[in-house]
Amino acid sequence: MALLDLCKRVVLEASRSGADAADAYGVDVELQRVEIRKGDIKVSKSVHDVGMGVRAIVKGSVGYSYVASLDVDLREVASRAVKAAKAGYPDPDFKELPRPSSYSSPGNTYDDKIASLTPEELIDIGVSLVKKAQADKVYSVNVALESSKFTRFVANSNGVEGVDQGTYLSFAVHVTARDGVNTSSGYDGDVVRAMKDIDMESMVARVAQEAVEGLRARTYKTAKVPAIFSGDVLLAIMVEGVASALNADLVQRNRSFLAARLNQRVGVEELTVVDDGLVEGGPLTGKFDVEGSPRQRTVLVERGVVKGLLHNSYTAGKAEARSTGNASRSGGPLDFRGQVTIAPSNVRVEAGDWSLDEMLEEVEEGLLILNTFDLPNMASGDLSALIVQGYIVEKGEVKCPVKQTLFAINIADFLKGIKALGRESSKHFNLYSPPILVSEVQVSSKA
Amino acid sequence: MKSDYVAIAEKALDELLGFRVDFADVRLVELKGLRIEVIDGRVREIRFMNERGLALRCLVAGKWGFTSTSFLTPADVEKACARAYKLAKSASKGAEEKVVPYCKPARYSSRVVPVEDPSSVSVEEKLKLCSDMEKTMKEASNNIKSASVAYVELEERAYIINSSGLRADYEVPSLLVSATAYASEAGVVQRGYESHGGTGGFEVLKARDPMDIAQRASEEALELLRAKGPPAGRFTCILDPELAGLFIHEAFGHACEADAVLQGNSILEGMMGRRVGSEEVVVRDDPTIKGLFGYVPIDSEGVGGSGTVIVDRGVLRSYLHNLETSAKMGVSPTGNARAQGYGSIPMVRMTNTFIDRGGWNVDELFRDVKRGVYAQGGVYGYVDPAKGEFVFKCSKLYTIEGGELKQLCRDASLSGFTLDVLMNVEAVANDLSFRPGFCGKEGQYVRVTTGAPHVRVRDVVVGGLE
Repeated sequence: MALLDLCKRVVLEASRSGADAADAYGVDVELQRVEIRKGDIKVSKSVHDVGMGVRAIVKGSVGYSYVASLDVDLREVASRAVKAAKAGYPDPDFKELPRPSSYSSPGNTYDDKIASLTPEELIDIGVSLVKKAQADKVYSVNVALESSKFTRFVANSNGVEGVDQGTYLSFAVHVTARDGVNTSSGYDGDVVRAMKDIDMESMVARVAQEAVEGLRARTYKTAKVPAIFSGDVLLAIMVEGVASALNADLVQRNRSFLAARLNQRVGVEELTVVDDGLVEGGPLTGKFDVEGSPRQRTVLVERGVVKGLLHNSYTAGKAEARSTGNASRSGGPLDFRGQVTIAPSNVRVEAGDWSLDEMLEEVEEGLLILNTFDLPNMASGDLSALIVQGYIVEKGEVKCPVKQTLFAINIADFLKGIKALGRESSKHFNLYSPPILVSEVQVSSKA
Repeated sequence: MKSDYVAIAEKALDELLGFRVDFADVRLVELKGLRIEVIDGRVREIRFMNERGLALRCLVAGKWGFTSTSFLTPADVEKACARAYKLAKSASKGAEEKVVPYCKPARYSSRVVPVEDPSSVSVEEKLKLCSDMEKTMKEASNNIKSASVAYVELEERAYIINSSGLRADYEVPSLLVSATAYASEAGVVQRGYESHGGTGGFEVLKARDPMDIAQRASEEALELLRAKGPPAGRFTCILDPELAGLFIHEAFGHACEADAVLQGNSILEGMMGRRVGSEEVVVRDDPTIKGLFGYVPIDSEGVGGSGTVIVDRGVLRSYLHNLETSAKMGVSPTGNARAQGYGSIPMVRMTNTFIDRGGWNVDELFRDVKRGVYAQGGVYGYVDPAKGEFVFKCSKLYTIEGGELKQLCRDASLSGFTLDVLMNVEAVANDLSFRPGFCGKEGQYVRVTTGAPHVRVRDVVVGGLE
């Protein structure tokens, strides 16, 4: 565990250089990636990235530095962080860095199969996946596959020490279909911790089918209609629109539309949303966050009422609360260079008791919305977004794909307008959610 | 570049050329920087950036093997070279690609010397500037409830050599300042944003008063408090230079990247020499404009571009290229290969991309509009590149009646198909201006400039909540 020792030493050096408190976050990641472009292998990449980020605190002022290699003078790295901290202004809102606590060991975060994948095997998987997308009218298939194994290290001047190992497999597929007149495309992707948690072949086949189906997509009308939201589109609503809006920093600064809503009803009785840093095999599951606070479960919305916020040690100190283990660096858990911020871990929306068919039966005329690339305006809660993948629903039946159609809803109205939650949850990156039926969404389209 | 770095790179290329490769290149990158962020009277971060590493790439039968290392001992570099070759070799199993990237054996060097070296200005002084900007925003009104300022200075150095005999090095410092203000009143929260940046040293901030940047951000947030929801429907739309610039970058520029074209992901595939916009439309990508944030005298493959006319009077004239895509399409490289750092593989990217100035005065654009909208500022946009379908969020939108601005609206989005919009361009004004920003593609961020004059387009779909 050489990197842990380096983390501890740099913390010591920072204290010697005049820091009141200091921490170091080390990452050692071996990553390999293959890119398949238009059905053909284009790039095989393999990179070993090792480094650590250092924070020094002087009178509450935080200074940062990092190293992206280990053959450097630790004293210099530490003194750079201290120099930065000394240049800043005292900040009485800073209370303290996390104190030592025990870490639980969430399951299914390390997979030998992923850890032992060779570049050749990754290429073979990629090549066999492309074959699953071959169908009439499929024009191009682009696939990116990335496997990594990593160890994260944390140490601070309060005596916090942690080591956490893990693996990732991330996958993205993009299929374009053409019929001489129209062009259509389909996307999907996911990040998992174990090979057994992903069925890439089915994903590719489904995306190819969606791309081909998309060729007969229709525009829709401009109207208020009921809609079922399922899959990736819920990332924009539940992760970005709800969990991220309950980031304590945004709330404390009144930058979130949910800022003043703690302990108030914001959604229907059936709605419960949890930030779960310990969910088995979750993409953001781990023993600790980037400052060494234990990952945990935090209820954000319980039976429609806002119950919790996401904290790091800074916002927790300011609010006299406990960190919820949601400290994050701007580039995620494997980033040691970026600023320490707050981000949701894995977000779980509790399932309801409706089957998808029952939900569809409620829709006389409406939409099934599966994906958008858009994000809500965090300050206002407004989301007006292009439907990248969605279907027209008529008399309870899923009909043809929809194109050139935008939906618009305020997240607050969405939460209050939930009519039904499905009984089966599915995973989409760091979101675990059932489909959700909302009584009324503004849609605008050509016709 | 330090002479020991040059020696390391030369040694690595020799090592790669010892294998049976069709092409190889080596890029040694050094990055230094400082980022300061002030929020609500407090310092959020003062962060020093400092790293260097080696990127190694080789091509075997059309397949790239790529690796990078921040460990620069001879043994580490040798190991990394062997790995790059092994990756390409195993990827090339059974492949028979004949096209090999090529460039002239030449020596290029470019160094931007700052007029005022940022390292001669103390961290304390830079922090004070950020704090003063933050105070300026707060002082604009009691309704400004939260404000933040970010200052970033970077110094990139690279030494690039390849198997065609090219030797290139560059040194480009850059600087960017941005201000964000949140105004709230009666439960409504609105955001204003403004930024300024360029390549060069601390003198970049002399070109524009930083307090003016701060004022613009707070003014925008305050104005939006009084804005209404936008109208929905199809309108004649005047885009301001910021939004038109963002549009040409996101909705059109990405489709011009030749790697996207070769991947079957571009609406512009097969369109070379054909009409893609009205006569009014001229689009350029010009990495040679000194001082702009997207100035790239030499790209990550060592190629110095001379500027590309992408669209001339509505007709598609060129894609943007790296060495490989230009070899495949039988044209010259355009100097658009860019990588975020040594850990990333170069991709085809834009630099300073803009709609060139037209012949209209700005007020002439408005005069003829009986009923329309004036859209200002781009918050963000996204595009389905294969379909060419886009959405843009503008910061502000005014309704126009009888040539006059009427109601201010917020949260408006514009959507449609890229080529429809370019075909519907009625008039391009003569007031070209530029904006700095960062562009993301597959997780890699590079500094770019977007630019345009005011542009009038008929039949644009405006959507909103009401």
